[in-house]
Amino acid sequence: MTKPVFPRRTFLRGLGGVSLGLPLMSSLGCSRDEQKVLEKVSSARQAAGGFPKRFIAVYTPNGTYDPPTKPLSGMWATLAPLQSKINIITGLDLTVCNQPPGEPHQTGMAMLTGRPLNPGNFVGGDGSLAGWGSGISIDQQIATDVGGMTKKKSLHAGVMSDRQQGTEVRTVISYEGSDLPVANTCDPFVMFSDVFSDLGSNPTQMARLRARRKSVLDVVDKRYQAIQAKVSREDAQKLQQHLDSIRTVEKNLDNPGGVIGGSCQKPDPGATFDIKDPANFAAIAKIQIDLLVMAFACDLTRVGTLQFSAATNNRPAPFLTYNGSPILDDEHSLSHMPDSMTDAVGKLRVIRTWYLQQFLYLLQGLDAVPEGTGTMLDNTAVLLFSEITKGNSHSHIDMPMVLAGSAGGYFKTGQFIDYPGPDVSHTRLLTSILNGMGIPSAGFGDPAYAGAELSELKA
Amino acid sequence: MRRSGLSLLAMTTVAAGLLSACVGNIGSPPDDTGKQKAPICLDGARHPGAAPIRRMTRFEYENTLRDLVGDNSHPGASFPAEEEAGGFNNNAANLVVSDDLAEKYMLAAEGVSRRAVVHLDELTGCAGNYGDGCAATFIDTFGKKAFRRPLTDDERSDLMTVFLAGKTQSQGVFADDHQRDQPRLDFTVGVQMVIEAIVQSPEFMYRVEPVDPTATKDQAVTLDSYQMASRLSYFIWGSMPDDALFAAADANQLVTKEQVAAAARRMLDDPKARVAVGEFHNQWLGYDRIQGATKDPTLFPDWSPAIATLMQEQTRQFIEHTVFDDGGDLRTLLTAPHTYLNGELASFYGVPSASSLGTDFVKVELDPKEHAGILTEGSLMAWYAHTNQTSPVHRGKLVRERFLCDTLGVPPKNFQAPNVDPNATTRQRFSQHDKDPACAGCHKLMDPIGFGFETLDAVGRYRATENGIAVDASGELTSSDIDGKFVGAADLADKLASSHDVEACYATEWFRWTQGRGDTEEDSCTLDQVGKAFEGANGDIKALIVALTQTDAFLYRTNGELP
Repeated sequence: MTKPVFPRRTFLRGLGGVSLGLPLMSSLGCSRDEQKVLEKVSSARQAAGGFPKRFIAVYTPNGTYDPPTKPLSGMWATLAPLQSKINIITGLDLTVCNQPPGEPHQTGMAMLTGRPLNPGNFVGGDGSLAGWGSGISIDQQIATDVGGMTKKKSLHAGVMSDRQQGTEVRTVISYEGSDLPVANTCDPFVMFSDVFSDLGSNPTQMARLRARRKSVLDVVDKRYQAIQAKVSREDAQKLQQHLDSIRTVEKNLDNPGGVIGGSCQKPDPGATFDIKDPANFAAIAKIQIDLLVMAFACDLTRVGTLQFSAATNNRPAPFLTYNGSPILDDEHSLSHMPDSMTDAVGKLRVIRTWYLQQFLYLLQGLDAVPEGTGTMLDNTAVLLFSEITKGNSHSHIDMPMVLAGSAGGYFKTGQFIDYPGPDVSHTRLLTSILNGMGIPSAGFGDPAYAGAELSELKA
Repeated sequence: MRRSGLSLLAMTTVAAGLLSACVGNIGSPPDDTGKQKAPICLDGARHPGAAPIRRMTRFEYENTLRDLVGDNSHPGASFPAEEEAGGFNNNAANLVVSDDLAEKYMLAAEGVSRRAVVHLDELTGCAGNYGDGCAATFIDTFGKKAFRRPLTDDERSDLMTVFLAGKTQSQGVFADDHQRDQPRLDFTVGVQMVIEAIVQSPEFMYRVEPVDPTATKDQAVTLDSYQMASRLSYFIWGSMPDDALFAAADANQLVTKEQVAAAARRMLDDPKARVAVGEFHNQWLGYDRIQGATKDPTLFPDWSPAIATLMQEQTRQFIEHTVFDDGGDLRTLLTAPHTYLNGELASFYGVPSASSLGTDFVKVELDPKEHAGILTEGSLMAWYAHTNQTSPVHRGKLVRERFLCDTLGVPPKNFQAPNVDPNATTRQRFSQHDKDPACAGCHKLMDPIGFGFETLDAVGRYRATENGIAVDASGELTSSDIDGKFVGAADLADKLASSHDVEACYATEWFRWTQGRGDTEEDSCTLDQVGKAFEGANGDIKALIVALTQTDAFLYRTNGELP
């Protein structure tokens, strides 16, 4: 694909301050389709017994306060009940996230792409500007392969992960490609309806609905092509991105919509409530986790992300208490406090512990679904990460991460692996995950920072 | 350093010598000698700037379906928040359609079509005549409304294909219709599928302005009357054209500046304009964010999500009435000593007349020393505050960014907000920013403005004392065209209302909203023209809106190049 040159954009990017509304260099990356075929796919996408392999990335904001200890203690002891099924990994560096443009929160949010950010117009903490991620993220890379077999290519559950201002580089972790962010579904009731409303419907009726959708989307597809031929190159590119997404939807229409039985039951999200009230943060999280687990159990999707809040979230945690009082300080500010501020650190530990409890709840949900001689968790890879190491340093060095599940026996679990010394890029963990999912890869992300899989993780 | 000269575009970086990361401004860069270059638009040619294709936001999608098929069910409620740029969610370049959103569009379209055919005969005018001929007529008339221009033969034929496919697929299963009337049922499903295709088509979802193959790439070309009708209707109503606009477009009478201005004036009298003008102000100031605010229940036991909702309504009504009923000028918006309250909210604020008010919102005159215009609205003061104390920093930053169009960075690592000290005022606690040189550079641009709001506590309520100490609401504006000391929000509001910078900033924010993009050097003459019209109309906001339809950017389009 040719790369059109836009001198006006380039010029404007050089201005001081914010440059509002500059196109986010949407044409300068390679196209989604190109990126989608960058990684060769294989047929080893199934675990023993024919159970599908799945992947979930779980994000928590503003860094992990205390580093994990061996044996697990403090907040990390939360994960002890499933210690044998997880790997605690320390010492990896988000080296690629130290590349400009952008500040650490912004660049770290795109860590699943293993690439630096594009230039753009989001204002960062140091005044520098950054755009969206510049390549496909690992969840979408996996979804491009295995997502084509399920009703939903992937699910992106947000727990108040949108900023009030809207979607921007600090509110998304997933990318379909360069400048193609995937916004989360933050309303658990919408998530329920999107994923489960058809579950258990009459098969004949479902077949007709598919036929109907195909007829409609066929014509919509034609309309996009017709209009593309009439508008400017830039506009046509915008429409092409939209059309790419319509085609993904159309392709997935043929996939089975799940069958109720065994562990697959239609979930009940309960009565609706105010999803903007910060007091409901925990209630939203629980529904989203329950829905993700059930979507996996029903094989409605094989890839998901779960994003708690967002970088520099400025959200209080009124549903948690510290010394008997609700935590009303905003989490981002707390994370900035120096270690000497006992109360701030104490509150932060309460919040961080709660996140680990949610992660455990997710793992336990997966582990409660039997599959063959093991569980669904055994056939899944679950990655826990944040965008920075610690809020008061904003470092990208020595990132604590957790990889849970063995991806169908590919990973050896129950380990505490430390990578001492500098420059073990986190992209190598992403490479490991791809290989674990049955997608052979010698290195994921920006080739300058990509590396081979981490041999210590392999069973 | 002052902003002066040719409107906003001549603005230079505020307070040169400060950390460059701290504050910036939008405008043409100075040349090597630090002088402003003459704007490139002064060459006598038309400079419409970029006109990227515009996709509907959730707001526009829902308004359009309300006007097209009477759907008031919030069909876009499941769509994620739009990608945001510079505070606005309608920035064309930033809007992206993920796989997930494309699927949500499909599901939403199915809901829309299901509800639309409940009144099948009203919708189609085909009562008792459910044949293909009537379907073709429906496609033609409905399609024109939805695509906002007459259909091409190609489009007619595509939509007829969908209709015919639908006819064969009904089987009595899909339609919400239990009558055993097969022709009607077949027709219903066909119509539903036509609607689903239309609502997902680019001609509906986007404002399509094709390249003129007879003109060059950089040429400023005119719009046809249908394209102009859409530009006007989405700007002033956030929705599709009405019958009068369609009639004007049919007669090709949206061509001259005068015709466009006359249409804009008529449209401003329609209630739909109130909603869309309100949406601009909400995007600009984000007053609906108050819904997500948390307050410390030990300090503010009467705070509740219900109060937040009332505050949002208060500000919505204040803005609507200011623009359309109460003077209509920027000065009133900035300084009015009144607002709109109901009994519950008035009692929360401690307004003396609260007991005489009912559940409806009415105009309430307040003490001019305590309340002055938009900035003193509870929805803003309580949002730009912490859970347990005010935030002079955030309040100052709001004024700096949204009223002076400055850009400020966020704090460096290891910053800490001061702890609440029961024996000191907020002002005393925040004075650390003055002492620490690492902080002072940026904070002296924000805190001294924010201190002016100290008489409004963390839930936006008036207070004369804090912790038993009299509140000192004296402040100072620097790096603006209204530099100087002031005391209290009313004094500050008065200064802002006299500022050319504020007036130009407000107009520029409107321009960005109108065009769905940031302003560039090419727009400097357009902005200058709009600024002069706004000033000449004594800050009348409706006059500003009409002026925004009279620019090169609105009346023309840079042609572009076919793929």
